[in-house]
Amino acid sequence: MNILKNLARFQYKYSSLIFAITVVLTITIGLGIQNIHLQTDISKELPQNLDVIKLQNKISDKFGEADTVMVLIKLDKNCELENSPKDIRDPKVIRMLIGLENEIKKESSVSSVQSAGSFFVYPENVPDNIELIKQILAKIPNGEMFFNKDYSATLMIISADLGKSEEKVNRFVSKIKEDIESVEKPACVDVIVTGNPPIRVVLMDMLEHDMVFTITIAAIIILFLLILIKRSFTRGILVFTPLVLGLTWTLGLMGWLNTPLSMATVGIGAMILGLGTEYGIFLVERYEEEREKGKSQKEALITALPSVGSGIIGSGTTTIVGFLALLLASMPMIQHLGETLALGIFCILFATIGISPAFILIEERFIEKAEKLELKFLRRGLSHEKNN
Amino acid sequence: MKKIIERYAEFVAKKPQIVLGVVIVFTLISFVGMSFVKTEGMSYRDMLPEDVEEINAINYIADEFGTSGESIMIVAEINPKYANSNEVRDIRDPEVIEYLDILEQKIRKMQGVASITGVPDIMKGMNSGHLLKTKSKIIELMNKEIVINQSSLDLSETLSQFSKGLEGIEEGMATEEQIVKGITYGLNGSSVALNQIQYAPSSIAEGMNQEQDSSKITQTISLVNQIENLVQQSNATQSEKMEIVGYLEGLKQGLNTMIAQTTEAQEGMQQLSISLNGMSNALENISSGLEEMKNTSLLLENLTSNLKEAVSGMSSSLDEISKYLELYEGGEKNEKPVKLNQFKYYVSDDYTTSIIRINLAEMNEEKKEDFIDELKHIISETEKPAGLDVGLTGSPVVSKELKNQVKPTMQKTSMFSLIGIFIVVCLLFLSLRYGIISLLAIGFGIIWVYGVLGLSGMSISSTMSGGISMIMGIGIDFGIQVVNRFKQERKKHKIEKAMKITLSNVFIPMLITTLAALIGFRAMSLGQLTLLADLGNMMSFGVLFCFIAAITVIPSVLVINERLKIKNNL
Repeated sequence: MNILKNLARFQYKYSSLIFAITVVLTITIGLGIQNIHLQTDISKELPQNLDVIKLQNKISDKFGEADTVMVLIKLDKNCELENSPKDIRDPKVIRMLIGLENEIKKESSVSSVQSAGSFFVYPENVPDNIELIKQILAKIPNGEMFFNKDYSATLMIISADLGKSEEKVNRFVSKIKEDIESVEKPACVDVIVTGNPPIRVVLMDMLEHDMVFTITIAAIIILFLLILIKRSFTRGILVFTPLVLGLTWTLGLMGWLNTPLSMATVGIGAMILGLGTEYGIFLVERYEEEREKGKSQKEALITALPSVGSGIIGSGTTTIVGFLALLLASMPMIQHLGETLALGIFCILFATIGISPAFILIEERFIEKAEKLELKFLRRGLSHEKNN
Repeated sequence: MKKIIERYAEFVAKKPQIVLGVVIVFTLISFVGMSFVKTEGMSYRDMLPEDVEEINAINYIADEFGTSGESIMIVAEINPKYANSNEVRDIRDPEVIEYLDILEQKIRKMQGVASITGVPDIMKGMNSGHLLKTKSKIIELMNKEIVINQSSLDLSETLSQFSKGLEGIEEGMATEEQIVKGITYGLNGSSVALNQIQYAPSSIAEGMNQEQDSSKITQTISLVNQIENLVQQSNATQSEKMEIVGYLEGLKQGLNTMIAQTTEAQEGMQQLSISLNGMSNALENISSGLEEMKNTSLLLENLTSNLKEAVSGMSSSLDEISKYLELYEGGEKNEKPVKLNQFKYYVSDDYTTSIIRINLAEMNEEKKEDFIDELKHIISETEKPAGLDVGLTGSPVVSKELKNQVKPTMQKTSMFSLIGIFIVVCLLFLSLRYGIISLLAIGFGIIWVYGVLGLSGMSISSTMSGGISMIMGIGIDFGIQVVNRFKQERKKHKIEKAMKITLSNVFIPMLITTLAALIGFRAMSLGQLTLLADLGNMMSFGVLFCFIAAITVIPSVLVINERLKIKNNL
């Protein structure tokens, strides 16, 4: 209690200094946000110590399944153009496969490309007669493996060594898409790139989008709610300030501590905002309660901070303990979620107890000054009218 | 709002037993719901968002190119334990191949197997259905690449057979053409003959009608009678008269016989006419039949000409094959054959690992789990070569293992969380009693969450396994705030007033906190990546129920506790 009383006195005395230090600290830590890297490899989110996962990883390494890109070529069943292919073994499709295969093979990280076109090697080897193509494919062992049952789709399988770099994965997938754009495609034939690397690229975009989107939505609604409840824009902002500070510090520290943003941690921004609101609410409410009793700024703060501070610290600590318990979970994604949320709650707790009182005082002084100024202008206006 | 809260606070302070009674009823219902709570596994598919082209495509591939899209892999791995032992050290060892074959045969008989592929299948396919018995031969076969060029396609033979086939078809066409011509000629002749036949009965009938007229004979008889009278009146002698009358009587008798015969003939002709009419109708039918035959004949002619075109098309195809064959036979660029080695999909490059891939038919989760158990049983009961490790992997196996992890994970994290929180609250209040009271919010809140999950049929997945621990961490705040404020107010006021002030002051901040937390959890489900959406739902229920428990259970227990304290002091 004495510590909190002393802290309240310090905050009252050095509120401007605390404000300045906070701004510098926030900018410094916040710079780490640009270092946040994305973790899109879903296999890493599963418990790595399980035998079945170890075996799965081993198979991926030995049989090179991890970096397999699949190009799905399928007929558009809704397309009714007269000269469009009606069977995916159409000579035009097979020639396109060969052309695409040759383009993709030029990429240095590609170790192999396989498709139905591989059996013909060169476009000029492809007979114009589809019946003949069918006959040739039927003669090839496993020649049918590239086709689905009704011959409306075929696959191209690209094996590549992309390593762990998300950037390399991104570049590789873009190159494959460029290659697809560059080859001449028959009418009514759709070409779609899929497999682990393209899905990782999609997840990268989604992670960035979802992070911003969920934080924005949660921030807008919570801020609106706070302004509505406090019936004051500045008071609403005041309760919201430790949330913004805590969130900025959390994301910045994630960048500096090399904690990745993954499918599990993408929603932490929204969760931290939601969970951290209570600390600011309790503090501001209690401070106002003491001020309403007619106490001075200093007295109100010295009463409010120790009385709710212990409760807030207790609440925050128990929440952090609850989240840290997730480190014992078997799923790495749950572990990451727990440690990131614990970090987030700690940051908001620190911002509420350590910084927020200084902001409350500054805001109140600012309002008082503004009111005085307004009064001064009003008085001047009145005396001016009297003189006139 | 404040008045309602104050009234409620007064009620709790006066009648804490009623509030507690209602809470206990709700808790008992939740206990029933808790028995329905199920756990579930998760797969890669569950982790991925929906309605994304790339993910739809991979699901399409799984459905169209596989079976149900799910496969289990049996992984055989060389792992010798001792140096210089008899353990197998190469996956191409005949002992290993034989073992894999036995496994495959047993698994193939299982229900739910759509297809199964492994090294033994490929080997049998390439070796007339037999496994190879020596390692050297196995290595030789595995290194053999299927070379896709003219020899493996055997285009020469195909071409020659195709050519012969075409000749046969052409000969057939010529024969068929002759047959069609013959039929057409015959039909034309038949048609003319039939027309003549049809005309004949009508001519006969007409002729018959002309000859049938017997009235002329009767007139002749009357003429004969008149001649007879004239003879009798004439001057001729009696003997001459008798002789002439005798002739005339003979003539009359002949004429009467003629009339009788004509009548018979008329009756016969009438019958003949009926028969001829019937015959005429039948002939008409035959005639229309012949017309149809003539049309068929025309169709046959068309068919012949179409077939001729087809033969010509095939001939041009034959030319294309010839060109294709020429391309394969000559030219530098075509010397590159396409090489395929099917074993590489089932044997690792270092020959330490081999996989058997089992594609599963469509089946529900329960059956899938039974299938995996049976598979494990087969593997354990099949004697394997020394130095070989065998394991299972694949999406359904991972899902089952993750499901098995849910309960232990929940127990571990919840226990750690509960102990940690209990220590913190006891230190905070410096009281075991207040520590326990503040824990009541999360205790009841979690029971209610479980009850709702069970009654609503929601299953707890791996991602939700940490949910209870998180609810504890968040929900305890409500308990702490109520107990903390009540303790402070109790120093200054009586029980009722202390509770009134406590609830009046903490209710709104706690309500805002709950709303803000719910907003945070709902926002998690608003993005495209909804992996943790279920966790968010669970947390939403958790926070809400902890809030309700904090304003019902804790105030009631605090009031009862204070009364008991007073009673004990007295």
